[in-house]
Amino acid sequence: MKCPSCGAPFSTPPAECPRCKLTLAQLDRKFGLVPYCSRYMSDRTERLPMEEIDALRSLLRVFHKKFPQIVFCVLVIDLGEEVSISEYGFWLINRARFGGAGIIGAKNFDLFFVIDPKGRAAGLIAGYGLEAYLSEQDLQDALAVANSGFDAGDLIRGMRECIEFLTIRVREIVLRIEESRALENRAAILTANSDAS
Amino acid sequence: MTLLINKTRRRRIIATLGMAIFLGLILPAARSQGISPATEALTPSPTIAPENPFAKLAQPSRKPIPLRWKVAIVLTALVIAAAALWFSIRVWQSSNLFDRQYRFAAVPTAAIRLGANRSGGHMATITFRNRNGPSSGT
Repeated sequence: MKCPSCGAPFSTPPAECPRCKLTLAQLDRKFGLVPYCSRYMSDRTERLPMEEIDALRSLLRVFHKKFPQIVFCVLVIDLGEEVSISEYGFWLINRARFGGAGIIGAKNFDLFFVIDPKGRAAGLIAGYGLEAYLSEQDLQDALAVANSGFDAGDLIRGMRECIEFLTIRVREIVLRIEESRALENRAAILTANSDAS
Repeated sequence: MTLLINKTRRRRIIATLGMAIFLGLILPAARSQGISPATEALTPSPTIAPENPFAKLAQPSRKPIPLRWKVAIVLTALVIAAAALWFSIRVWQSSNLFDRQYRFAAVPTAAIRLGANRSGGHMATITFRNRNGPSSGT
């Protein structure tokens, strides 16, 4: 756990950052109105071709069908270098209600990918529900995959590769959990059988 | 406007149109297969005098439908049915209908922090090196 503004780590969940005193209410005052975000994919820069946006939206729809708990949303917006992408991403995932109004706390499995072409920055933020499964290293790996496209000046390729990488990674995580659970169950059955005999 | 319709939706529309054309071809033929006995009993059988100038028109046509036409109609129907089936399969595949779904076990509680109730800032960030800024990626 660390502050999205100053990066200060904290061991217990605080109401405000112990170093910079950041709260979500402060960011409400800083960023004001929540921008309109359509489901799955929004381009506020209006630079991306509509066909490419539709293709990405289809990819994100398939992602949601594979992982019904996760609503993966992508936003392309010009913020500029003066705006911190981590602060903005943290604020918007909490205010935009991607997964629905009532999906809060541990039930929230939202994934939010924000790209700022003007400030040349991107952020990938997960809801509380995903924290136990998807590590910050996984998110960093996904961004590293996207970075190759972004560095080449190909925003669409970067986003597509990031989504595809996360589809594979999340699937692997779920399968790993299922496998370990099956092993535990088998061990429990064997123990019960040996006790009975 | 056509750009707004995504590929999947376009495929669905084509598949629906294909099926509609196919059914349109088949249904009238199926309906005109015969007259039910009840209807036949109620229908008066027309009798036309042989000197009537319209008598020839009342006679059933002696020219049968050429075999080529029949073959062409059947082949067209088959092609439309195959196309409709192909588009339907594409739509089903793209909608991930036959793939399984993956679910996480529910986490009992979350460490709510900084007054945020959806995400506590579990994230990663990067900065691009591309000085010109990313293009549209076409």
